[in-house]
Order: sequence, then C-alpha cells, then structure tokens
Amino acid sequence: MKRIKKVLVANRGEIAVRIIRTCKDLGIQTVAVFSETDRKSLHVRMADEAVSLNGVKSSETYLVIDKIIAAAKLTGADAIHPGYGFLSENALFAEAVEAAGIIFIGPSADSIRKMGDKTTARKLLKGSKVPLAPGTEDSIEDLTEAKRLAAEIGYPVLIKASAGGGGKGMRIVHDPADFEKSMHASQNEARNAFGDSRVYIEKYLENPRHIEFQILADQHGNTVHLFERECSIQRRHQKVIEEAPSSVLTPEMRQKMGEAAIEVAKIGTYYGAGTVEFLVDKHRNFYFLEMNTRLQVEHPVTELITGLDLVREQIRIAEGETLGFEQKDLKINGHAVECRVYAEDPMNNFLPDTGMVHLHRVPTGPGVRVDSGIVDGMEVSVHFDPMISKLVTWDRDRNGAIARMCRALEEYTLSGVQTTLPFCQFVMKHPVFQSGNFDTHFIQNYFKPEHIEIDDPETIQNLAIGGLNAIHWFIREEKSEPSLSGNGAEKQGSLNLWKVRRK
Amino acid sequence: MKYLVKIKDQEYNLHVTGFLETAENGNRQTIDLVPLDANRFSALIGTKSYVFEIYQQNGEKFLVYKNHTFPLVVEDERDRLVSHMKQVNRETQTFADIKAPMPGLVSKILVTEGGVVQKGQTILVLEAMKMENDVKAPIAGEVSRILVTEKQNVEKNSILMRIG
Repeated sequence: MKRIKKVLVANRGEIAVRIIRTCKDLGIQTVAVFSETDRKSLHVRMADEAVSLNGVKSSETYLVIDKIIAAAKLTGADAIHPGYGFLSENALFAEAVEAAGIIFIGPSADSIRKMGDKTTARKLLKGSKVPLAPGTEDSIEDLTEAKRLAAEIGYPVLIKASAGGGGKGMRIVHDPADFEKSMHASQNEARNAFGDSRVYIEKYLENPRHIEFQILADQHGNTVHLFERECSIQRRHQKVIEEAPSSVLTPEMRQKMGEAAIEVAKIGTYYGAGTVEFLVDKHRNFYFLEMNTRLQVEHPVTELITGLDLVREQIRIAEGETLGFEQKDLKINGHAVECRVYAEDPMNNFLPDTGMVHLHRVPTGPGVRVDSGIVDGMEVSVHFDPMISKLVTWDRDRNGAIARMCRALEEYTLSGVQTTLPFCQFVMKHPVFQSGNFDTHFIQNYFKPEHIEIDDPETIQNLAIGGLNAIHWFIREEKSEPSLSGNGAEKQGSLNLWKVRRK
Repeated sequence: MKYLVKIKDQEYNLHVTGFLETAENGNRQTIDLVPLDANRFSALIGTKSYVFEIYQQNGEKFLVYKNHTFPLVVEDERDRLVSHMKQVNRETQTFADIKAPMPGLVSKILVTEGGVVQKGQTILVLEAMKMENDVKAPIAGEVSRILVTEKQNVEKNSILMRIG
C-alpha cells in the first residue's frame, strides 16, 4: 500500500481549504495552485507550498490539465485532489494524472466516463433494478428529432447538459412552442460552462424532491452508502439548502434507495466517494437522476450525521486501503442542515453580486461548522462561482438543527456584497420548510422578496434613530458641515470614513 | 437639528439634540452609540441592543441589520425641498437608461435602434458567471440608442441602451 505524502489540491475557495485541513490532520504535505486573482486567498496561505497557474480566468488556470500536472511535478506531489467543479469529473484529467505516475484522489477515469456522462450512465443502468425516469438514451443535437422525442416523452420535459452539473444548461419546457429557444439556450450554457454542448431530454417530474445518497467504495469491491441528503431547496436548479437525513424517507424507503445507489456504484465499478442522485415524486416513487463522481459541495451534512471525514476516507481509499466498516456498522446520528452563502441578491431574483468583502465574521457555538475560503478584504469576482461559504449546523433532531441554524444565520456578519443569508433565514422560519413537506418548487411557491423583510415597528424605528446618529457620528468625525443629501456629492475627504463601496 | 428619516416605507421626524440623544415626537431617547469596525455600529437604544452597518453607494445610504439591507434616506428641511422638486421632474420623464444589473458579457441584443419595445419585454441577454440573464425593458417605448455590442464585457451599472 502506497502512503500519500504530499497532495496537490487542484481547486480554490472553500473546498481547497477544506481538503487542506484534512491533509494537515493526516500529516500530509499540501500544495495549492492559484490564478492571479487568488494570490491572497486562504488556500494559498494555508498550504505548505503554492504554485501560480499564470492566468486569471478558470479556462487559463484551474481547467488547464498540463499546468496542474506540471505544478505537481515541480513540487513532487504524489497525489492530486480535484475537489468539486473544474476538472473533478474530467476523465482525461484523471487519466493524465495517473499517466504522470501521480495518484488521482477520486474514481478511475473509466468510472468517470461511464457514470459521469449522464446518457452513458442511463444506458448502463437500463435493465438493472435501478429505476429510470423516461428520457432519451443518447444526447441529441438535431432539433427536429429532439422535438419529436420531447413529444413522445410527454411535456413537461427537461433539457439537460450531458456533461453538466450544478443546474447549468438545464431548461424546463412546458409548451412545445418554447422548445427551440430553450434547446438553444441550454446548448449555449452547456458549451460555455463545460466546453461541451451536448444535451439530452427527460421527463420532468412534478412536485419532485431531490434526494441523493452518498456512496463510499474501496478498490477491493466493498461499497456502502452513508445515507441520504435532502437537497430540494433550489433556485435555478442549484441547491441552496441541504439536510441529512431527509424528513420524507421511511426506513424501508431509505433501505431500498440505498441499495439502488450501491447498485449504481457497482455497475460503474466505482471506487472513492460518489453521490447517486434521485428524484422522488409525490407518490414516493424514486428515479435515478445522475451520479456525481466527486465529492459534493454538501458533503458536510453527511459528515455530521455519520462522524466520518469524507476527504480522509477518499485519501485512504486512494491509498488502496479497505473501508474497514460495513453497512450495518453505520448509523444516522442526529440531524444536520447546510445553508450555502452565495454572493447573490435574493431581493433581485438571486442575481450574482460582486465586490469586496470588507468584513466576514462567521458564527460559532454549539453545533456550528463553517467551511469558507473568504477572508476580510477579499474580492468576489465575476471569474468564479459566487459561493462564499457553507454554514452547517447539527443537533440531535431536525428542529434543534433548524433552531441552531436560525441562531447562526443571525450571528453571521458579512459586509460588502448581497448574500443569500436573509433568504436562508426566511426558509428556516417558514412553516412549510419546518413541516418537512416541501419539494423543489419551494422557492417559486413560497418565496417573494418582500417576505424576507424585517417589519417589527419598534425595530424599524430604532434603526432609524440608530442610523441617523451614526450618520451624525460620521459628520462629527469629519468636522464638516452636514451635507446629508444623498445625491452623490460625497466630499473627497469623507471617503475614508465612509469607505464608499467600490463597485 | 431636525430631520426626516425614511426607512422601509416609514417616516420619522427626529430631532437630534446632542450626539447621544434623539427626540422622537417629543419623546426623548438616550442612545449609546459605539463605532465598531468596517462602518459598523453598536447602538443601545433604551435597553435594546442593535448592531448595524451604514454605507453609501452611488450617493445613496444603506443600513444593514441582521443581513437585511435597508435603503436609508435622511433629509433636513433644505433637502426636502430639493427632493420634492426632483420628484416633480421625474414624473414627466419618459425615457429609461437600461443599466447592467451585474458585470458580465453581452451575449445577445434582441432589439434594434428605432425598434419599439413593450414593458417587460426581454431586450438583451447578459451572461455572468456562466448563467444567462434576461434584461427586460422597464418601460414601453422606442429604443433610441444601443451603447453596447454583442460579446462586449460590461461593468455593473454601465448603461446598455436607452428607451425613449
């Protein structure tokens, strides 16, 4: 068995930091790589070594296989962890890493090819006991043929990117008249996000819940599942809030879905950590959606209910160790909830926001974990994903975990960009979310921007009083005439105190 | 000094008597205000404790409390006169400058100069963070100028086109 001594983390942001932390726990040396705009980032500061990828955009840096392998060779790293996104589900990358004599901390290139491509995975699973939603077997390019298939499957249909993930390139079509426009939009987004414009079509299930199973498999044929994650709170088909376990699964259903997930992994001769995603319809039928051949963003909720460190397990598996435990050894302990903090404005259709994060103070206290790659003074730029951090809480039961999340969200201070924090507060306090009886349409059914406003009259009045006095404080410190008309006439000298936001 | 403070559709007539005192409708409130960091303040108003941030952007003031951002308007007597006059002007305004809601790449322009658009019609597609975002016409009217071209990168708030 080969012990890994030095890991290069081919990623950035919170996930790079999270992986470096586990490497440090294990006494493994770490190498960060970075784009020019990430020079000051936390992952660069925390790693033992760091190598510039000489470029700004992801297409010039984190997506360039040769640069990453060169950085590994330069530093003598014996393994590469891809994180999520970027090259994590790229079979060519996994192959190139192995060919360079470096361990890829993830599944084999063959498994990525089989399971990471949705249409290939569906073909492989056909005829197995894993239930599939109706849809096209192959990716499709011809519009007329696509339209015909959509009609055959029956509207509403979903157009999805074959190479996709994270909701990018996905479109729901209710009306055949919108099909053409949606297909073009989907192909464009897929090309931009993944460099691959292939799409496929499947039946769009109504009132679906998104429930996924975490898989761990070693290289000796042992496969277990680490229970489910409920990921139904989504905007733009991207998850914002996840929890484990799901409030809707009975022990029988959990067992059935867990077995199906293991079956998927076995058919893909899968090893490492992976996730099998299912949609559960209102009749509690479940259908295979896709397999993600990487560590997921939302993996911490699973870690909190199982007590396992998934990155540590990934490293052990990559070294060739056996799992060392069986399905019957695994138990769900308590409940965990995760809120993703995005630089997005929930008051304005979740549009991404950019700017300097002046202040980032994360909550602590019982049952709170924050995975973040942001520090004060760092820029949220257009070049990368707008996720700032993940806030995760745990308690013995769901109500407790939600209560702790409400407390932690209130404690979370982030200044400089609009975030999804107030939206998450809204969800945690919403009776439908608290009841556990919701689906992926939660946001469109229950959320209006005005719902997240604070309207307690005493609070508003006191904020008016406090705000006025704060403005007076600025004026007094300036020793200048009060000029309060907010018409863009800030004096040059007042810029320091006001720290006018640069946009 | 007397002020009108507007926050969240509420208006308060406040009279600042000293640095730490504010009279509201004849009721005198003592406030204990301490600056913290990065434009944040801790205020004790009566016994209630508040931490908030104040910042100014494009000439407008904002207050952030528990991650909620409130536009804050503070006017003295003279300001009120000025803003009243502005209001009158705005009502006669029949054009709109379309600004980029975020930095990004203009992926598609769906109208031409001289074309007539309806309110709410998608006029431009802006790509940011690999997502395509529709920009819609805020008013109906004729597209008088288009200031960007397809594949052009734009900054947040830069003017894309003018309607009217």
